Amino acid sequence: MRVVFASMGTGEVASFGIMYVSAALRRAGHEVELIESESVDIVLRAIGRDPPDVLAFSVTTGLHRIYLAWARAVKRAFPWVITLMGGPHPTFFPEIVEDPSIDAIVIGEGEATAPLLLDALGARDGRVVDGARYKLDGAIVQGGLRAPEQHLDTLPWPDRELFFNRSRFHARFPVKPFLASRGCPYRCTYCFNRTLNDMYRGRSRAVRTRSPASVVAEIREVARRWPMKLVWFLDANFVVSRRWVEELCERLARDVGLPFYCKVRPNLVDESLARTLALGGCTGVGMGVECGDDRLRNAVLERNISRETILNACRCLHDVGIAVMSFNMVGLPGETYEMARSTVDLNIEARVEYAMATVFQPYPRTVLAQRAIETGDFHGDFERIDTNYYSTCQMRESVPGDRARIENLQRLFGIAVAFPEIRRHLDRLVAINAPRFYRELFKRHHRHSFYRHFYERYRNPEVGRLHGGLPAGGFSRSMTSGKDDRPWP
Amino acid sequence: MAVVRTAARWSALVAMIAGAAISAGIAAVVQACGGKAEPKGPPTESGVDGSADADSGPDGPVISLDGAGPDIAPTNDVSLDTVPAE
Repeated sequence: MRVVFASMGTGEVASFGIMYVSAALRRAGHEVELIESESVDIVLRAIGRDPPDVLAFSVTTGLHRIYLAWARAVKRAFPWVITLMGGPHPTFFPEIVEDPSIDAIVIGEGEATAPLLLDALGARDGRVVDGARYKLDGAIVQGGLRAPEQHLDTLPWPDRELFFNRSRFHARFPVKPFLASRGCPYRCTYCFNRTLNDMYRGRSRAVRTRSPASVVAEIREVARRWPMKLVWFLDANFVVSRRWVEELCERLARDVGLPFYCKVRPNLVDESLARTLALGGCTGVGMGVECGDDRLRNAVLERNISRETILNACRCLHDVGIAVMSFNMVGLPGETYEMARSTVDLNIEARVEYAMATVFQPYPRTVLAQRAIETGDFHGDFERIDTNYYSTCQMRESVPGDRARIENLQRLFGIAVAFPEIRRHLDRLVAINAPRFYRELFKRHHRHSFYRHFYERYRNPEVGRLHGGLPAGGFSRSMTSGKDDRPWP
Repeated sequence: MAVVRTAARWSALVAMIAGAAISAGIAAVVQACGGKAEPKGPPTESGVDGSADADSGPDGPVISLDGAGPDIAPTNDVSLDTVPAE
C-alpha cells in the first residue's frame, strides 16, 4: 500500500513516531511519503495530485482536533482514502475511532501493529489485529492489547530519509535525535508512562534499552550521512540502568566523540553518574523539577523527590560542567499563584541554565487528570485541552485571578530564573495584562536559551573538561564531515 | 570580564524584550486589520518530538524557528506556539 503521513510540522527535530513506523512499513514492503504543512488546503492539494491508499496521522491530545478536521476534509474530498491515526491520543482515547472520519487507529507502539493493520485493511476479511481497531462495513473490529517490542534492537532504525530527503533544513540541522531506550518505571501521576505501565503490566518491562553497540552504530551512520554536531537523546529517562549508562557512555566517548544531551531524574544523579555522563560527552541534561511546593510535588505529583535531592543533583551536574534544563509545571490542581512562584525560587536556588515551564494539561487516562475530575479541579472536557502546553490553564482557580497570573508566570518563568534580579518584581509583572507580548517574550527567551545553553554548548571550551580535553573546535570535528563546517543551516 | 559578561547578558534580555514588543505590536495590527495574527502550531518537544512528544516532554524540547534569535538565521516557517517538549 501507499501510505502518506500528514504532519503539521515538527519544529527543529523531526517526529520520531512517524520515522519509526515509516521504517517498519517500508520493511514490510509499503511505500511511505510525508506531507508537512500547517494548512489543510496544502494537504488536500498534495493528496489530490496522487491520492494515497492510506493517510496517517501521529496525534497528541490537543492536536487531535486539528487532525480530525483534516481527516474530515480529506474524507469529504477523497472518501476512498483510508484514514489512520496513531500516537498518544488514540492510545489513551481509542474512542476516537468512532468518529466517522477515522477508519483505523493504532494503540501503543506502532512498528509491529501498523504493517499487520495494513494487511487487514487490504484483505477486508475482518481479521483481528492486536493493538489496532478498524472499521469494516460499518462495524468496528477491535483487537486486544499488543505488548510493546521487548528487543528494541530488532526494530529498524528510524526512517530519517522521510524528513531529510524533503527538508534541507531537517537534514542540515546539526542536532539529531536518537532513542536509546523506551519507558520509565516511575509513578508520576501526570505522566503517560504510568498509565502505559499499568496497561502493559505483566506483559512488558517498564524500561527497554537498546544495546549500546546498536545505539553507537546508528549515531555513526547518521553522522556519516548528514551534518551532526550534537546527539539529542529523547529517552524519557536515560539513567535508569546505571550499568547500561556506563557502558553506553564509554562507547560514546570511544566510538562517537560527539557531545550529547539526555534526560535524567534527580534521585538518580550523584557524583559518580554525573562524571560518567561527562566522560561520555554529555554537555547538557533535562531534568524534572516540576514543582517547588513539597506537598504538591510529592503528594499530588507523586514525584517522591525532596528539594535537597534536586539541589544536590544540580550541584553534581554543574561540578562536571553539564548544563541543566529543568522542566516545570504551573497551573497544577490546587496550586495557587504563590505556590507556583515557589517553583521559580527553587530553580533560582538550583542555578539551572534554563528553567522551562509549561502549563499543566490533564491528558486523558492519566491518574492526575482523573483525580482532578473527581475533586472538581478539572472540568473533564478533554476537547478543550489546547494544542500545546504553553498556553491555557485548564484547572479551576484556587484564588480568583490566579489563572491569568499563573499563565503569565509560565511566560516569564525562564526569564525570572535566568535574571534573579527581576524576581522581586514578579508579582507586579504577572498582574499586567499583556498576553501577546508575554507570549512573544517567552518564545524568544525559550529559543535563546536552547541555543545558548544547549544547542551551541559544544562550542564552550569549559565544557567537557572531564572528557580529557576537547579536540580543537570542540567535539564536533571528530565525526562530522569536513565538507561543511558551518555550525547551523 | 565580569562587566562584559553582565552587559552581554542584559543586552540579550533587552533585545528579547524589544523583539517581543515589536512582534506583539505587529500581530495586534494584523489582527485589527482582519488578518490571522497567531497561527497555532503543534507542540514539539525537543522533546525534540515535542510533542511533548515529546521530551515533555520538551523530548523535546524542541523549538521551531520563527522569531530567530540575533545570531541564528531563520531557516523555515514553522511557527512556534509550539515548542516541543520534553
